[in-house]
Parts: sequence; structure tokens; C-alpha cells
Amino acid sequence: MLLVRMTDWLTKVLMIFGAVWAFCLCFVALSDIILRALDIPITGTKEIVANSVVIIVFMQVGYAVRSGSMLRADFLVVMMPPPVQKGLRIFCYLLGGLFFLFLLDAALPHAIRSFTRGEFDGVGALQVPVWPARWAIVLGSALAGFNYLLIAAVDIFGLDIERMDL
Amino acid sequence: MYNTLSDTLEWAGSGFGWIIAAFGDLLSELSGSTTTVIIVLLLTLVLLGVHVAISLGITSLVGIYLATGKMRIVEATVASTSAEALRDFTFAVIPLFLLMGEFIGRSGAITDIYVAINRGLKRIPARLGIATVLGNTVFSFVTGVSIASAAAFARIGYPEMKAHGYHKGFALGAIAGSSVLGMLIPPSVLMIVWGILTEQSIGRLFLAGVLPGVILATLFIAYILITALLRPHTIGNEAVEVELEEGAFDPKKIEIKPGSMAVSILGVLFIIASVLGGIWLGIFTPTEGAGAGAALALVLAFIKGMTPRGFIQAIYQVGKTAAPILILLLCAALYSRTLAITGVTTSIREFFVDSGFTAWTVFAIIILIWFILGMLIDSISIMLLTVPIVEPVAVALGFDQLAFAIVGILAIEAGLLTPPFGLLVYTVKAAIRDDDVSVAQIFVSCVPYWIIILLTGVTLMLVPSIVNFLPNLMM
Repeated sequence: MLLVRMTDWLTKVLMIFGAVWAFCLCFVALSDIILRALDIPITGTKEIVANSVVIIVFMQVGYAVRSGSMLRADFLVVMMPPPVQKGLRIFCYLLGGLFFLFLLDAALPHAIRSFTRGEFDGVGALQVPVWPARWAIVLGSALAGFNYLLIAAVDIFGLDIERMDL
Repeated sequence: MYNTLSDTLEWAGSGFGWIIAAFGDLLSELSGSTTTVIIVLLLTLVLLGVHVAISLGITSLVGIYLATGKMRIVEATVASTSAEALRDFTFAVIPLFLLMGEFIGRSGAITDIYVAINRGLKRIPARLGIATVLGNTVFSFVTGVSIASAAAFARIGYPEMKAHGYHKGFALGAIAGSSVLGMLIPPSVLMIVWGILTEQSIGRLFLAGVLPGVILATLFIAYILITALLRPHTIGNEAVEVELEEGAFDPKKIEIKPGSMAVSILGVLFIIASVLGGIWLGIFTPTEGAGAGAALALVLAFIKGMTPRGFIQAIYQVGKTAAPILILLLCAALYSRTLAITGVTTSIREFFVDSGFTAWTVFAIIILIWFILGMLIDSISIMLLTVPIVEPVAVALGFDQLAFAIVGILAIEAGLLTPPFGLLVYTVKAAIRDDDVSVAQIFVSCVPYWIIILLTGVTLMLVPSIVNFLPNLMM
């Protein structure tokens, strides 16, 4: 239970972090327009925004899983008897866990390599390091995978854990 | 420490790989063709209620494994897609436009504009219905999703229509039907996704939607006017002053200071003009325009008295909406690569091109598929599942790319008004909390809107110059 409390805390913190970061992007885009209008050359904003998208998404994916806001089509499922529905739900969550843990496993070596070798994005004066985005993928998919397994466990063992909301 | 971790992960990874490989082998053993496996597996997973992103992801893993036979290639593709597919300036446009819509929605400016339109239309029959369509048109320029429009107008437009004795289905049909405009008039999340999937200019798609949106709004208004004139009882005693229920939104009672009203109208017009104008004149990209729009909308919302709490809620709300969409896009990118690696896109295109069907038969089949899917799944998922496959087919058959995009969006949106799962109808029903109106009744009232959308779609396909006129004029 302590583990769940900790991951839930992390899930929320990362979600808020990503949301605030996304909000800040509007000022990055705005300053880009203004500086260009004033003819002050600035490079690297495109790379910053591009890498931010990856980071923001993987900061928030854990929350999307844990709060049940991943999109699904349930029209067929709702017509089935409750035990079948439950079985399918567990199947769905386990597949989700499988996918994200596979992604974690695939992304980790790249993240380590990117950090040790110093991978950069962009050309010219302002280059943006790529490793934060690579590590965000690792962290985000680990959390998403864990949260999928957690909500599967909630259904399998009937755990008393509420759906997350902000 | 690292070695143990990496060993464990390697062991776990080979475990996952083994499950996927075994599953893939079994499937291909059963069906014999990778193309069939990829399509059947994806549909089965989606129908079983597996999250759409996960369905796309798992299908891709299995598909790439079947095509290459090497788990290492699957891992490399997944790793590179997850890092590169979303690492693009363009994708930031989605959270930023959502942020702009959220701030304007919370500023109350839309309510002011609805009230202004409502007062401006005095003496016109069915003015409340018409005000709903017009208000929706304006709202569409600042929001990218139809659901938001449907919920907003169910709250601000319905109570007065009900109090005036409007036929309830007629009133709610007008709200649900006209909220379709949200996806057709820029900025629209569907257009952004379509543009990303087909590598078209989002600015051109935005422009392409304007004329069809105006045509659609005009036809909706014409329908409401004609109905009101032919069957006056549908609009009840509209000319008579009535008292509204306690607590309901009543435009007459709303005291809006002329100054505040002017701020709303000018503010919204200024944001629309600067964001869309800037994109279309090539001063900035859609992403920069969305960023500037969000910043301007923030200022407007604070001037109009958005609370700090509302501000935080707005930022959270964007996180809740944007993350699932972006994850879907990531998995769709993986799926697109899978389709390319396995040659599914090519074989489907060749199948249709060599099938001897006329172009219009193929078009009708595609539209039919969209209608059916539109009844079952949400619009963005439908696009991600189908557009990478059908768009190349349509282009190969010589259809106009822009017109096809707009008609596609129309067809998918029309599905949101179709039983049994029309999402817009349920949204409206949930927003009004009125047990006297059944979902079936709202569906029936949506039929005329549905027909208008269908006819508009066919017209646009026959006369693609309507769609191309503004993009060619301005970009």
C-alpha cells in the first residue's frame, strides 16, 4: 500500500508538472513570434518545444492510465454480462501493462546511451539535449505500465483503491 | 546496481518479447497472411474494449515481428518511434489550442456573445434556435472539439427554449446538430490530427473548413426558420414573455454592463482574427498561433474575472484531455510505420485500385465505414485507425485531397449524431438533466441535421472548388 501511495503521489506530481510545462509553452511560442518581429534572431525554440512535447506526454501518461481517461470503445462490452466485462477489463489492463513495460525495456538502453554520449537536437548556436526526453519516456512508460498492472490488480483482487482524480 | 537492473529488465524484456512473438506466430498460423492478422487483430482488440492506443501499439508489435521475424527490430522501432514521432514542433498545437479554448470558455465571453445575439434577433421567428446556431459558429472559432460546444449550449441555450414551450426534441436537436460546426470551423482538433496523419498543411485545412462551415450554419438556420414557419407549435409561445425556472440561465435577467459586453465581443474577435489571420498570412505557424492565442485568451479570461482556481482547473483540464490524444497519436505513428513495413497500405491501395470498382463506389464504401465507426468510436480514434489506410486510396483514385479531408471530418462527425452511440446526443442529454426528454427523441430531432450534413458532404465532393477556394486565395 505504501508503494501505491508513493506511485500515486508521483503520478500526480508528474501530471501537474506536465500541465504547467504545457502552459509555459504558450509563452515560449509567443516570445518566438515577438522576438522574430523585433528582428532579434533566436534559435532553438522549435527544438525546445518539440522535445517538450515528448516530455509532457510521458509525464502525463501515468495519470491518463490511473484516472481511466485513456480512450476506448465500450459499446460491445457493455452488452455483456458483468463477469465477462470484468474479465475483458483485466485483459485490457494487462495488455496495457505489457505494452508499456515493453516500451520501457526498449527505451532504456537508448536513454542510457543518449545520456552518456550527450545526444543533441538542432543545429547552430542553441542545441537542446535529447536525454531528458529519452528519460521521460523511460519514467513515463514505467509509471504507466505500473499503473496498468495496479488497476488490473484492483479488479482481480478487489482491492479498495479509488480511481484517481484531480 | 545498473547491471542487476539491466539484467532484470533484459530478462523481463525477453519475457514480453516471447509473449508477443508466440501470439504473433499463433495468429499467422491461423490466418496465413500478415495483412489479415494486422487488421483483424486491431479490430478485435478495439471491439473487446482494449484502450485504442494499446490496441494500436500491441497490433504494431505483433505486425512488425511477423514482417521481420526479429524481436530486436521490434524493440528498435518502438524505441525510435516513441522518441521521434512526437518530437515535433507541430504536436504542441494540440495542447495550446485546447488551452486557448479552455481559457475563453472560462472567461464567460461566449455567454455574453450568446446573450448579445439573442437580443439582436428580436422578432425573428425561432430566434432562440437561430441564436444557438450562430453562437455555436462563433464558439467554434475558439474551440476545437464539438463536445465542448454541445455541453456549453445545452446549459446556456436550452432553459430559455424550454420555458418558451419549444418542442424539447427540436430545441436539443438544434444544440446537438449545430455543435458539429465545432470540428469544421478552425481551429479544429480533427483537422490538426488529419493534417499530421497525411502530412498536409494545417493552415490550409483550417482555411478549407471555413466556407463549408458557413454553408452548413446557413442551412441549419434555414431549416430552423422553415420549420418554425411551417409548424409554429415547435417553437411554442416564443413571442410571449415567460418566467424561467429558478436557477436556470436566463439571458433577460443577465445584467451585462455594456463595457463588459464590448470586452467579450472585441476580445474574442481580436483573438480569432489575430490567431487565424496570422496563420493564414504566413506570419506564424499554427503552433505559434495557438501559443499566442492561449496567452491572449488568458489575458481576456483574467480581465473577465477568472478566479485563480478556475485558472488551475483550466490547466489541469488540458492535461487530462491532451495527454490521451497525444498518446493515441504516438501509437498511431507506430501503427503507420507498421503498415509501411508490412506493406499493408500498398496492398489495400492496390486491391481497391485494381478492383474495378469506380472511384465513387470506393468513396461510398469509405464513407459507409466512417458512418458505422462514427456510431461506435470517438472521432479521433476513427481517424487514427482509418486515415493512414484510406487517404492514399482516395488520392490514388484522383479525389481532391482537401475536399476528401473536409468530407471525411463531416462523415465522422455525423456519426456522433447517429444512434445508438451518438456521443453529442448523450452529451446534450447529460448536460440538461431533464428526464422528460428521452435520448431517442433527441436522436429523431437530429435526423434533419444529419441529412443536411450528408448533402453538404456530397456537394463538396462534387464541387471541390468550394473547399479549395479560400486556401488557394490566401496561401
